[in-house]
Amino acid sequence: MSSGACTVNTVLIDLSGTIHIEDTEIPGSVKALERLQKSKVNIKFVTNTTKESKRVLLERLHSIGFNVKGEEIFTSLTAARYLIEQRKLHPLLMVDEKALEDFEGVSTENQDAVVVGLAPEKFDYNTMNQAFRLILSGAPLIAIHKGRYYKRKDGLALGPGPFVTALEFATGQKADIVGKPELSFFLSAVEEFSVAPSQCIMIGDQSTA
Amino acid sequence: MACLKGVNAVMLDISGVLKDTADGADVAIPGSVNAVNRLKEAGIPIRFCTNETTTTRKNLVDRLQKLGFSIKEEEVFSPAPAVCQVLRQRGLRPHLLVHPASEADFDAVDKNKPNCVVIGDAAENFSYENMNKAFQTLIAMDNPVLISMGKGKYYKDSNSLILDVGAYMKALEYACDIEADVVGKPSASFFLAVLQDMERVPEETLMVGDDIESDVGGAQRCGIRAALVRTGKYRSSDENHPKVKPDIIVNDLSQLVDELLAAGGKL
Repeated sequence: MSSGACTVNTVLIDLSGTIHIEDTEIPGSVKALERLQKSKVNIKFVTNTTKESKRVLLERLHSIGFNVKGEEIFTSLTAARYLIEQRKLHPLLMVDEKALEDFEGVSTENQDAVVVGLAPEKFDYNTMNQAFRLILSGAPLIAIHKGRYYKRKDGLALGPGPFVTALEFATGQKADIVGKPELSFFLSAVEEFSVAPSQCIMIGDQSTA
Repeated sequence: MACLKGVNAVMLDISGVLKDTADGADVAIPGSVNAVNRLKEAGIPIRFCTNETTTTRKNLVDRLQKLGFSIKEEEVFSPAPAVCQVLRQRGLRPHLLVHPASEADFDAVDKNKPNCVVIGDAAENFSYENMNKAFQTLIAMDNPVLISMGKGKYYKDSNSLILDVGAYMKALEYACDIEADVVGKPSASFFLAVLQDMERVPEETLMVGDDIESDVGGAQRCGIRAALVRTGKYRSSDENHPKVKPDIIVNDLSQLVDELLAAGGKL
């Protein structure tokens, strides 16, 4: 191995498609993770999720047999919360009910920001208008991601991207996107380790994200 | 005013220029009923150019007449009749995502086995599931055709600003990676059809509106001069728009007519 690779001390690992698919382990990954954990490198699991809270992800990983701790997981919801706390914002949360627990303790009174995830039940006309007026009066628009659509039992269904785009167009304000592949996502994920990006390696199954 | 010299025909937007909406009811903007009368008395031809799609053209005219406006149905240009013409010409059968009160404008249109989607200001009908139906209809086509009645960003209703059809058009464009065909303001074909009906050229015509992009920008791109009124959805930031500069900015339609008649607006 070249000397460059030897300086890696932090490993970022994608979840779905990299170490598991739904409730099934990708063969060998439980063992591989154990070996990494013994080698004392920093480990962070990074994933774009807009529905599943950290707790739900953790339960699934444990049931498959992975030895993972809550603080080792950094999701796009974590990144959104991080941004909200950093900027002391009181958001209108257009996120799925199941994802709300990742925002527990965040004040949503006197709203001055809009956070959009995948939340079909929040994309109604009234909530969209509420979000629009907040952004028009200066509230930042924070998007968990800008996915165009996703697969539902009855076929394809609109993702958050179209609704974020609608709000961007109507207000003339660009959204801040917090998930992969945004630079800020990766930097926030490794911040606690105080390492340089060149000391980190990302392991995933998608070349673009 | 020099900038109004030679104007002898006028296009008027309706919402925000002639009337506002408060708690679901129409209210004439002060001075506007009289302003329309003064234009007509001066012999200046008028057409009313609206992107209104939350009602039928006939119903809109009835409501304006009740407010005291001198207005006839054939003087009103709205997107729905123009869309029906496009559908006929192109052999298109629409899936409609429109306001229930405007559906009657499409009664004569064949809507079986849709091969396009027509979107208007559907207001409360812009639910997630309705947006999804429009999306699923589009994504199932080899060549998705989306026709949008206007592309306004927002408008004013009962003292608050609300999303207009343009925002939802953009959502479907983004979801399907397509570009909509816009019928109505600001599309050039809409303004040109109005000019043709008035038998006027762009240089002698003035558009009056409260939408800096759809009204002012759209008209100016056709060579038509445009006035911005400080009524309706007007916001002070419109006066510093990065791309669009109105030929004249007035407080309301009444002041515009004062200026126009003072400038010797024909006859």
